[in-house]
Amino acid sequence: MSPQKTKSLEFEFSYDVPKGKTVNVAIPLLLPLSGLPTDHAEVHIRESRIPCFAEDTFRECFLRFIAEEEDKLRQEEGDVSLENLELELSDLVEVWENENRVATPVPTHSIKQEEEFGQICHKLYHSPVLHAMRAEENRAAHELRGLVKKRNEEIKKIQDHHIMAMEGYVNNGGHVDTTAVNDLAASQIEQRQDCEVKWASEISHLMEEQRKGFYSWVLQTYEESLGGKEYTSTIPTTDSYSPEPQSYPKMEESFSICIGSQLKITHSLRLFVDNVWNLCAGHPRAPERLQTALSLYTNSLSGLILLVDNRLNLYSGNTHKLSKVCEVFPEFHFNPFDQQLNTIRQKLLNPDVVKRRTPTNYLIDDTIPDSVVKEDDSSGDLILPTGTCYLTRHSNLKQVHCVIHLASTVHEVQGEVSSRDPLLVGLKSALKLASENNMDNLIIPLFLTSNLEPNMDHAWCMKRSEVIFKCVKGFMIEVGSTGVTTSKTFHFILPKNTTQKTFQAISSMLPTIFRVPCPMVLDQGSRKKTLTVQELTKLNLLPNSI
Amino acid sequence: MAPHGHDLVTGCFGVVPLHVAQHPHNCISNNGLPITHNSVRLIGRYADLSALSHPNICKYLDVIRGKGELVAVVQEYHDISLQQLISKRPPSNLPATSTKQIVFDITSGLHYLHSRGIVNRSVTLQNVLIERNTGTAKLSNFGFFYLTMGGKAVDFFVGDMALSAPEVLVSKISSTKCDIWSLAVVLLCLMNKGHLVNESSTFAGIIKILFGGQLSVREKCSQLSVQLQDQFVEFLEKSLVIKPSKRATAEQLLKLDIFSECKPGNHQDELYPFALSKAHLVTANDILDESELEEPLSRACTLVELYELWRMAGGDVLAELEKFGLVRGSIPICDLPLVVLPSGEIYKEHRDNILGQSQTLYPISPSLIVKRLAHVEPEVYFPLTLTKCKLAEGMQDMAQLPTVIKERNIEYQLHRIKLFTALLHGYPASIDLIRNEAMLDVPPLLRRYVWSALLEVKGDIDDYYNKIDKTQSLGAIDRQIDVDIPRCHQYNHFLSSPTGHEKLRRILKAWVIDHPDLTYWQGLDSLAAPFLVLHSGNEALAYASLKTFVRKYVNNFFLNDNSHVMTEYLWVFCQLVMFHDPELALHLQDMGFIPELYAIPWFLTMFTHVFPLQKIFYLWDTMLLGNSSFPMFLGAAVLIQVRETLLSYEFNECILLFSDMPDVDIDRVIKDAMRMYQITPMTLTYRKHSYHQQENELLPPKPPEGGAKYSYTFSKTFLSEHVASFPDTAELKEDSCGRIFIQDLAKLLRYQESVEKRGGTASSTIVVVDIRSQDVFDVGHLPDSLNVPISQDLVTPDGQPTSPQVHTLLRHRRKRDSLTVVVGPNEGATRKFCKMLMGLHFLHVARVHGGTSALSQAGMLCATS
Repeated sequence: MSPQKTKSLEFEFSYDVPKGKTVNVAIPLLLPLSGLPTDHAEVHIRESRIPCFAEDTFRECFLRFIAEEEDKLRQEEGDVSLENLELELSDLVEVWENENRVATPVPTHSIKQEEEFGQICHKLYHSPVLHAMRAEENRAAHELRGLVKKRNEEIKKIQDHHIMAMEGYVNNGGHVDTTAVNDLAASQIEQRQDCEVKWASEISHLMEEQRKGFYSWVLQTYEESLGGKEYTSTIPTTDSYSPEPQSYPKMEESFSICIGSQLKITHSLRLFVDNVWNLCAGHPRAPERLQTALSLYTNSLSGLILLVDNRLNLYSGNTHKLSKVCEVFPEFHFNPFDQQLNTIRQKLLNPDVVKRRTPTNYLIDDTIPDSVVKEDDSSGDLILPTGTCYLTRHSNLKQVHCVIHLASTVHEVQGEVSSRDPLLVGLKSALKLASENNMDNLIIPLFLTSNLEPNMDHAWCMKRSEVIFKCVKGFMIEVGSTGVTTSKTFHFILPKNTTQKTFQAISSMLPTIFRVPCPMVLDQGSRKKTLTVQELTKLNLLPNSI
Repeated sequence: MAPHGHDLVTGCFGVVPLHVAQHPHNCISNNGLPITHNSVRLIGRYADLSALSHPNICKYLDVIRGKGELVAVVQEYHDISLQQLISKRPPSNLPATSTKQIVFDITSGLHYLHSRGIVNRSVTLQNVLIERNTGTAKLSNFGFFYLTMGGKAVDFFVGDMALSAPEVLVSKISSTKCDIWSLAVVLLCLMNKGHLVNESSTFAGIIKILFGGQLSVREKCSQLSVQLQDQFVEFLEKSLVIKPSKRATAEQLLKLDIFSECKPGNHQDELYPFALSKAHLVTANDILDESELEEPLSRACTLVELYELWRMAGGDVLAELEKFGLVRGSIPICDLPLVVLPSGEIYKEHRDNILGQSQTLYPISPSLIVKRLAHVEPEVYFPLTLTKCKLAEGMQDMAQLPTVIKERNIEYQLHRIKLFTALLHGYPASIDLIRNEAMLDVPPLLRRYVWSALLEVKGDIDDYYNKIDKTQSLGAIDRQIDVDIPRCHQYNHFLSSPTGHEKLRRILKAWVIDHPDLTYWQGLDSLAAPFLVLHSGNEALAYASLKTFVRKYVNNFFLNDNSHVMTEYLWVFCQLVMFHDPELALHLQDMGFIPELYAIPWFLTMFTHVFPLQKIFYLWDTMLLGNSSFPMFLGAAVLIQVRETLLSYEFNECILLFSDMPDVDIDRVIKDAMRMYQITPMTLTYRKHSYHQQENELLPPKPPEGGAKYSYTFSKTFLSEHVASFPDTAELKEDSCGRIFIQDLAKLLRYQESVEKRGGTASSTIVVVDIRSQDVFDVGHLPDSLNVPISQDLVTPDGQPTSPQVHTLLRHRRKRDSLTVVVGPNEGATRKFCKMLMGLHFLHVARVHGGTSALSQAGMLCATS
């Protein structure tokens, strides 16, 4: 923005005094004024010793003068900009015409379609059709599971076969030809990859078919239900579901905490030991899935922060595990996981970042190292800077709707984490994403890792959880100060090899960091009269339902 | 025929959804705090717009922040726009208005806006609405350019490009003159009875003709095939000028000959007589304006009131918008971003869809409310205040219910709003009536004015406030204010906006400069916050209310050395707690958990530091009715509410409990405080350092009928008699038992006597205990007083009372409705005796200031007959 034009000029004022004299005052001014003109007027009245009988006139004239002159300043700027209008008019008009067209765009089509489908699904989930829908889903899941099972068996068979072949070869008479072994290994890998690719395409083909089938089934069912077709809400016969046995001691604790000095916002914190994949995978008939499905298209989503490798591909670390988990249950609502990753990749390669205008009085936090997305030459993978978050959406995970992938390297996760660390900045960014996008339930790995390595001892755990708690608390305060009053649940998940001692220590540390509200004891003498509903109706006092 | 309710309520409002630009994720502001959202900035700027009022502009009613940087701006709505008027089928039954009158109306509206420094930039055919009844043209959506900080807060063009002045299109520089250009183009459209067209009929073609410098107005019109009416030639020659500086101002245009017959619209400002400056003085002529008498009923319920009632009945602007499908991301999972980079850039799968950039007004119909109000008696709209200031039938029961329920009943609220409006118009003469009514409840819509009335704000406050030089530097105080403001009630959108910060700073600085003997202490910011939130569009009134409030309730708390004031306050507070709950008070005293450790922020900020604004509103609604000691009762009520917890706690736990205010039931705090206030002798909470009204400052308050001692103040004679003899803080600290003055005792006794004479039983019994020895007692004592000599034990070793007097005394130990007054010969003995009663957990014990000598001086002693 060009510096604002200024102008110095004089304000002249005169007033009459007895004996027919006139006093003239001239006040030098620099426009535009800083501060309110009314304040300036009072200053000048004092400094120029304007007598009280002339004060009102002075004030009026001064304010009018300032308003007019400041407006004139802008008018003059406008005049200057129009000097060459005649010459440039034709060119300019073309530019404006384009702008004018851009200014009236149409809403994007695909979002609309997705939202419509979502609305229909939401209605059906909350209607007697629910059970039919669940049955449809389970049928597809069964089909998928069969295929996945077949694949796993075949790969297992190939692997066994390969091992046998290799062992036979190696044990053959003690003499080993290294080149031959290498050749064999190479051919085995190729064979296996071929098989995997074949199966992958078959599975994704099935999923695509199922998704299309589900889509048309939903639309058809919806129309039928609009047409008045009754669905009897038969409770399905007892499922062959029994909760998976847990192999480690159950450790769990919940807290209510409040944030804010005057207006207090209550949040729930939950601390528990579990395998993060148990929250995503799990039996297709697990009851949690029903809850997840019912809230899929609502304003209360569940999110999971997942620490992932800084390479954006399907084959490494947690991303790979997640892709396997996604095969347990068919995905009916969103693109398959690999396609979603691909969309992200494409977006990063050809960014059209949402432009955000910026007011003048703020700074970009420049302590964050300048980080750019790089492309690895050999593999073609994108290398994301630490702290990058990308989101994927799922309807087929047990307790999670969206996964926030937080990119980092193993080295960074295991090392020391300070509050200005890119990893924590990334975590804050993930928390903010979750809060802006209605994720009222958020699962956070407290140690930022899903498995405790030998070098992560008790002290390490304590230090790490303190840093994360404080980061989350700082975020809550920040959000609370912007007037957001929704209360949220934060689930802190600890790796399943956490010791009882560490868990106890962390759960007793939590109330020292967050403020746990004091219990309110109502004394028995409280003589509060409460009106019954009947009384209220009699008095016509129930809140009106408008 | 008498008018029916449904004729009295008309009007409609509309809402414009604005999706403002978002900031990158990792921005921080200059002071290191998180950056203010654009939506919050808008809400701050709205404060000034809400105060605007003119017959030719639509009133702004509300602004609401939604999710995802959505700002919903609610304003007056009329269903006919100029756009429809010029269309092929204009709506029927519209009063015939000439084009001339419409142009005049728009110009008047613009003149009003320009005189307040507001550039409209959205003068379009859609944004000029026609009022059905009168045919008056009104500008709507006029505030967007102002709200969005000159268009900086949004990603789209404010206004209509086809109607924009050349300098706006070239350089985006907008002065008041760009509105004049748009007005001229609107006039062309009006004469053309449709949008402008030429042969090519494109945007570019029209712009080229309009911007052609050499063409005269007539030539432009003929090229655009506009039927130019001769009367407008002069108007257009002055307004359709390329160079902004050569274009006429709205004021100049209004003076043109063609408008000589046009009548400015009449309009009644929402004006309450707080700021009686010369400008506001009305002449008898103004009051008896005949045009107002013609149609008085149309103003039975203003649009502001209607909107408030609609909201109270559960109306939700955001839900209405969602119904229109105008809220972005109504299904959140379909609208998730893809990637957020550490640099704060956000990548989305699709470009943001452009909902909410249309600047269109969507109507909301309050028809349900109008229907509900249809059967309300017309009398309700025009309540009589002096002859029959009573609640109507059916409303009596209502008045006794909890505030939450009352605030949801729109018939009741209508009643209250109308009554208070009438009373406020009569202020200050109606001050007693206002006080009486406010005892019941205060309608939220009028709370700001009711508060100012209860605080007895008056005089030319605008002038007073303006004259305070807020530009002078205060050094360290300035820095402290800068630190405190961004931490003061920031959950409130207005207070967290830059406009809110600026206004709060000005008010605080004005206060400091206006009170040279006092200083700024942290806490004054919190005290000012409720007033600023209520009077967000009227700084002067907010300031005046703060000034009187501080003087009345926290007098001299802001002295450079306020220790003696504070100590006295907290000690009297201790005595009050002792009076009402000796068990708790002794427990706290034994632990050493003195009020200095927890209650200073309560009283220094009158609870604004510990409760959110919504609770403060209710708390202060009642507090403003009481005298300067009422806050102590609130404090005591808070303590008593958590008494069970406190009694079971040790020192450390107590500290922890009050380090953060526990969640208390505000309604109960208020009720308990009221109850205690009613039964506590007035002089028990007397403080030397409280503010005592100057005699000539106000008419002596009349005791309101039936009401308790709400408006009680100490008379001048009383003060001159007793202030001198009242102990200093150091001496006071010896006393854990509160003292009452002899006048108070005499009044209470007289009252009891008069009740008993009438055959009733007084609500409380007064037991006067004389602790002198029997011989002295016999010589002269207060009639009916008990003689329990201090020298004598109260009970025998086996627990029997030693005398019938002691027996009587002990019966009153736990009685909630008795008052025990101790009269002693000297300080030491009285103190000792009181302490003993406290130890026995006697409720409501006080001692007479001055003891028996005061009684004898007053001639109240008589010998045993």
